[in-house]
Amino acid sequence: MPFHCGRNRGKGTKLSGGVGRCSAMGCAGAYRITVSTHDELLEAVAEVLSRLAEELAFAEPGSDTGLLPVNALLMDLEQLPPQFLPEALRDALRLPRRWIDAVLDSTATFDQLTLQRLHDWHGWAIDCLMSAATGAAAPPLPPELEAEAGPSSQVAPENSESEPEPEPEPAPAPAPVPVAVHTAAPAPEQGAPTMLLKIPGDIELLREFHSESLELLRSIEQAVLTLEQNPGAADAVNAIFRAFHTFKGSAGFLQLDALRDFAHELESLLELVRSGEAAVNRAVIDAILAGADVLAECTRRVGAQVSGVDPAEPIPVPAAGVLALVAAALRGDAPPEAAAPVAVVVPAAHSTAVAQADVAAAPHAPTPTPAAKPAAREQAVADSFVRLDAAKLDDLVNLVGELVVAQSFVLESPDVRGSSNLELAHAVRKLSRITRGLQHNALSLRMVPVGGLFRKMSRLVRDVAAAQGKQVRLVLKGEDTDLDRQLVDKLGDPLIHMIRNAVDHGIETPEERVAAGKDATGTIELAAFHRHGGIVVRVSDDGRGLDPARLVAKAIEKKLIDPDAQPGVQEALELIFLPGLSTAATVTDISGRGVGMDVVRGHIESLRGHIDIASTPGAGAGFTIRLPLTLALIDGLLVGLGGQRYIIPALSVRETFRPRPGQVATVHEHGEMVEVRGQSLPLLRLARALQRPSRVNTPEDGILVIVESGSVVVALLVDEILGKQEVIIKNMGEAFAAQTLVSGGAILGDGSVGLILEVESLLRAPRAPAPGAATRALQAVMP
Amino acid sequence: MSASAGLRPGRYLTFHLGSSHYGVPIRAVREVVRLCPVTVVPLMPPHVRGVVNLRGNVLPVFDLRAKFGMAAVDYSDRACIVFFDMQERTRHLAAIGTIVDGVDDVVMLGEAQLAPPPDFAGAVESGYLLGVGSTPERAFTLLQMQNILSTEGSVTLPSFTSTVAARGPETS
Repeated sequence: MPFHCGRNRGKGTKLSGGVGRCSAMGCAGAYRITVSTHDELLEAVAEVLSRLAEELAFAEPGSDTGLLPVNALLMDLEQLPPQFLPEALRDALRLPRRWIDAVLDSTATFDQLTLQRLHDWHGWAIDCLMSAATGAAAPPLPPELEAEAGPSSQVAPENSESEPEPEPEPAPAPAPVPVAVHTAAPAPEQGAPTMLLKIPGDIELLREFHSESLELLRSIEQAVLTLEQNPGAADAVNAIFRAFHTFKGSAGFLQLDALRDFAHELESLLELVRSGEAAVNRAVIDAILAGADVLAECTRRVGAQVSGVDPAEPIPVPAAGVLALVAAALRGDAPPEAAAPVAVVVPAAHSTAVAQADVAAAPHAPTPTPAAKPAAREQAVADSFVRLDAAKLDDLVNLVGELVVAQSFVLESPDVRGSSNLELAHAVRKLSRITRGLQHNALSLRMVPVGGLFRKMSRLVRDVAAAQGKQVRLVLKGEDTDLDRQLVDKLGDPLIHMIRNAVDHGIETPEERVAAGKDATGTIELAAFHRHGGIVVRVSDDGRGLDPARLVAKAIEKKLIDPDAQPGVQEALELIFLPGLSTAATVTDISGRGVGMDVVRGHIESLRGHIDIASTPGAGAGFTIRLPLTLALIDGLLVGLGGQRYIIPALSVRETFRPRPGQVATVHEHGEMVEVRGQSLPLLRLARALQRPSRVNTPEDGILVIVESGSVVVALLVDEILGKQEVIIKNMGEAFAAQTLVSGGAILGDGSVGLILEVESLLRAPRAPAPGAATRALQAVMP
Repeated sequence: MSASAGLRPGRYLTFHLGSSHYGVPIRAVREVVRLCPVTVVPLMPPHVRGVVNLRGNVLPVFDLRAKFGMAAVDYSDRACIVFFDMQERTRHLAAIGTIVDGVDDVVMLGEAQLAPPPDFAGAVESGYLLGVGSTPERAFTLLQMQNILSTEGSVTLPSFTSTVAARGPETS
């Protein structure tokens, strides 16, 4: 399934990598004590299997991520007392043990075959567990799993297509119908048809085919997500049909017959759906996803061979399993939706039976489909796009930035300003207007809608929720909001963290939700919108919310705050951003994985953004991220201090004013405070913080700039305000790596350098009431 | 002799701080500009003056007197900023400027005008010195600026050029 999680997988893996292990190990012991009845025993096993699914979902060939957690989970299973496990399952444990040991012993990484086997074994184990739950006989172990050996295995994949064997006729309630099919589904299929790329002959065409295929896969994924929300979405069906059709056409053109035939089968399935002969149900969606997975894997291998990473060798097209799913989907059309959920396996998530039921139940929720419109829009404009090198775009933006600065040089030159030549003045105005327009345009070139990133999260929510047996609906808002491409790229990881957290910790299980009088399906909202010349991204859920008292208790326990501290509610919530609080501790004790929100905040701040938290116990939590529109430019307030100029990012500035006499008072032990509309704010003399001279002695002679960072608001005293300016941020290099109060330099209109202040660290620096103490305080700031 | 490994015949830029004369291989020098107003970066050690704009790049400027522990002076209009290429050292930092009292000359030094640093110079091991160069007019310490600039804090150089100068050029 390389196709779904794509880029996000890397980071997601890290999360599940480390934490999965500790939770798994911790749990094995607990079962022995608490579990008593038969059902509970099975549940305990199901939970371990569900974790296993989660780890497997993030493991990928060529990497050993997830290896240790998988091993640990396997050990958990092995160490369960014998009566815990159905006999067949206990017996079959030797298989994954052998595969994992082979990897562990050889210092090798996961390979495709091992992962596939583990996936298949897991699928079978779930069946096994379900049969045990209903008292049915365990399904037979798929022969290709038993038949360990090499590529010349005796499996005849084409057979499994024609007759998905273990289909019990009288089908008692949770009939493992498609499950059994699935077990054989994306199997290694040693006998699968293969295709050989014509390298170097077709290399250019193959390259095009590769990039085109990636786009097609993306559009399939999007359309599937739409379809899940709204099974009636004809647009989505058409989009998938077109994608498979294009695949078929291109593969045929390149004489990749195996791939062409495979795409043809998928296209046929969609054709039936399109014509209304087949209804969109779980099984169809699974077949589409499984098909897309195979296409994605083939595409990946084509890419790897074209770029020379892989040697040129025949690429197998493991079609049989998917075709069996397709066949099942078409046949399974008859069983009503109600019966389907229990039986159907989500192939991508490889999740537990419990989870499947929930995921399958979700689509019938009467949600309008916000995704349908953007999809149509994208299709409409798809033809007018130009593909170009991102580096060239960056160069252009940088050059235009230089142009803007050079232009203001000319404008500010005394010769030009002092000139009485009307024609020159006119030309200069025109130049200035064009430059502005060009700058705006160049920047907008690099802007992309945040929707693409958002939609990737849909898949994450789906997978994580499925693995945890939760019902979660992801609502996307403001997908059209444009953001600098660089920012979008860097926003991915923090979003994954937060969304995972929301599903993991925020959303309760359906039972808990119903008990609390909520809709059984939890909602996570991912919204983006513009505000104050920046962009706001908000992740909120309607889950249980964060408990401030527990956060405080945890922070005290971890010695992160003073035991006597009595933080207010908001301060307590912000403790979650402390390093060490959420990484190891389990704030909600659900799954034993608290993902470091300190890491998230670090990420956001490195993008010159801020993150705030809000939470209502029982009603949900929300994180609000405020970001600048672009990383290249910063909208700044230019202030003067002792003859030098500094830039305060406008995003942090609330207001500026000259204090009236008496507005600033010195408060005992708090230093100088200023009264602003009934609010008493601490006053920070910038000169003192930076240890620089100032020509202002009393605050009334200077200007106060009210700056905020998170919930901290401070009045910053500067000598003067020189204006507002958009500046290009220049990295000052490693010599200033230790300088936390300045985030960069900017070349000003006259060619000199202004320093961009890092408001965040400025405000978090301890404030010094007396000049003598200032030095000490600042030494504490400087690492 | 890794310290003097960079000691090769070629062109050297010579400059002075007070009465001490120094030379650096010309290949290490990116650019020399007249001393311009430097934007002071607050809360930095004394030898880090601040930053300047060199054709659109914001580059750090070090005070070489402070770096060598010499007394501060009011720079005259002969003072310059010599930018040294730091690319080999760090990927991000293209160049570092250093303020010197004045740039003297670019001289061509042959094998015979170059000598390894004297043994008593403790700074040899640290890689600050390339050796000693001499012209009929004077002798000067040849510096390994990349090593000096990438060392944090101040750097102590032994003053031996005067000794060398007193003896006069060894071959002439």
